[in-house]
Amino acid sequence: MKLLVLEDDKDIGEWVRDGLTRAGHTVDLVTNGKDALVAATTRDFDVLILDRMVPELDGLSVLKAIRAAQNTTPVIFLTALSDIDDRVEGLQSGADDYLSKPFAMTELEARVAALGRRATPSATPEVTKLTVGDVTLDLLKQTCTRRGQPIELNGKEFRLLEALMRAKGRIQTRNMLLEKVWDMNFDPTTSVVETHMSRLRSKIEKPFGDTFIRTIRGAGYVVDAS
Amino acid sequence: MLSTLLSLPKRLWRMSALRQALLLTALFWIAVIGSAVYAVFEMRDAIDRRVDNRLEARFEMIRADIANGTFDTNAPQYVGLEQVIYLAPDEKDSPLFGRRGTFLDDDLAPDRLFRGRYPDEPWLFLGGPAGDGWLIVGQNVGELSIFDDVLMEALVSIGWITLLVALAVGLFLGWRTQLRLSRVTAVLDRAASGDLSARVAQDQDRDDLDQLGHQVNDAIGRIAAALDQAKGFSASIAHDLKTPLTRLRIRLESALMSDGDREEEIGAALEEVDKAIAIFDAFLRLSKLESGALERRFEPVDLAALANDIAETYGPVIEDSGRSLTTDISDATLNGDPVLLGQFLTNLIQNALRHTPKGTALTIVVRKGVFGLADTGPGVPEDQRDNVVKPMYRLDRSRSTEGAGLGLALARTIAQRHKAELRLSEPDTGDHGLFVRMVWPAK
Repeated sequence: MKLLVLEDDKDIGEWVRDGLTRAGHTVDLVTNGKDALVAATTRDFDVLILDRMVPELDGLSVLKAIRAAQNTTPVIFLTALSDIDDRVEGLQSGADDYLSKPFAMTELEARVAALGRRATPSATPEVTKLTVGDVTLDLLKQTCTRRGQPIELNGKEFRLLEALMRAKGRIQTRNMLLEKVWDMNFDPTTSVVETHMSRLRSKIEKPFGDTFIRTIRGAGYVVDAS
Repeated sequence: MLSTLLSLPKRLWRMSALRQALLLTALFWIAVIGSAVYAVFEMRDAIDRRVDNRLEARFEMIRADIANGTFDTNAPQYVGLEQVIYLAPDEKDSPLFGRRGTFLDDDLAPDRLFRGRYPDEPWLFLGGPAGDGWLIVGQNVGELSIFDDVLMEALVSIGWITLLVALAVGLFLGWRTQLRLSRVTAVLDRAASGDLSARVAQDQDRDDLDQLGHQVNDAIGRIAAALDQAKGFSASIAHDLKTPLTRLRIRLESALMSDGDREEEIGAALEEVDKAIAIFDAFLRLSKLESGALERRFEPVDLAALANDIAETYGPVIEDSGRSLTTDISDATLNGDPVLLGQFLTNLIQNALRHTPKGTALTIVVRKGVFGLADTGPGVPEDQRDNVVKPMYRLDRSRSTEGAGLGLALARTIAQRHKAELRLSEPDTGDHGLFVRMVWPAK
């Protein structure tokens, strides 16, 4: 994917650029808001990654200007102000995702991948059934079957599995799952995700003797597409 | 020394209470003297009018006599304090006239009366045409002028007395107010220079100055408390961050020295970094909450639903930790911020997970006006309950546990944001343990 990164700190900017380049993306790095606005409005990008506090024109203003020009390129906000307020403000201004510094490169990679997919106009209407491999979720009846066998899941487990299966092939980080399944945008420091994941696995993997959800150490979880 | 002396009046003048007292004194004095002077002039005027009336009556009487021919025009008459002079038309140049120079030719007009006064003698005159010549009636007012002297003397005495009394009272009152004000400013000076134990001495509550003292004391007290807390805060932050940073250093060092698989060490190092970040986050949240920056729109929150959701989320976590979770939930709503209220309960659960032993039973309690968590753990001694809600405070037995000691402080701040009170006690089931909840008055 083609990505634009706005980050005024040289070290962080290069770290982000190198990391995303290694993940197979093409990255343009700019260090002030004006350059970012010019780049975003004159060239096509798949995802914009904007730091919030930068010289010339802050990230929020860049975002507003881009959105005012009917540009719907997905935007991830980066910021040192990790709090609900800033998050809400950023999302209200048209950002698609929000990541507070310091963050792990895997987290950023996962979020960029998720956004890039969202942007491609996949003509998927409201699905009622999700199938990945031999697991099928019925979203209306809230039931789960594997190899034809029904599996009893509680609400959180179902939503956890649904989140992973919707993002098949792409890593979901712990924080992404916390946001999607538990609506938490702060780190509860206790092992909420891990605990529910192990319960889910004991139901969906243990009776079948193989793995369905893969743990990516230090990054998150993924359900492979094949 | 000289300049100090010279600047003294200026300094005195800058004391507002004293200056006001002086101004008031001056005004009062001017008013008293003014009215006294007015009285003296009025009195004089009245006396003059009386004399004048008498002279007029006399003049008319004698003029009638002259017209009747019963007045001996040849001899000037002195009767006691009265003097009657008749001037024939050709006598205008008589010594009496010329000597005094008091009566001018103009005065001797045939058609009107004139009044006069000798310049150096206490005589008042009334003159006018009578018969063929002029009649002048005079009255000695020397005796009356004694009144003037007496009045003048009285005026001066009154002036001095009122001046002294007013000045004394004004200065006394002003000085007293000034002293009370100075006590307050002295305390503020001390506080500003760092002595936050300074307090305005308060023994009474009479007026606004006492109120001012109270307010100054309150303000200094609050600043002192905040400063104490901040001091404790920075020390604790340093301590709490040092632990994960030290472990981080150890991890990185051993990763550096190990020849083989470094992945595990680096993964562990990342975990330590995350812990440090979590501590920063908790602080940021607390300070934002306390400064009111998180003020958002409140909405009616279904606490039962919220509590059930959290029970579902944390139930497995609590069970895996060897503890148990039950709920005691009945319908309750609170006008508030659902995110903060969720954080409140989450904090209490994390707190319980940290500070209670395995086998502890946790109960989420939601009732009308009550929202909290009870546990059957070791509890908190009664005399420590006020302390544990302070940021960074920990019981001795909890020193070694992880976390920033902010859980209950955050919970209390969230409760306060919802106009509720954070209460700690034994569980009301009679078990030993701790029951933390926010309590708000039913509408």
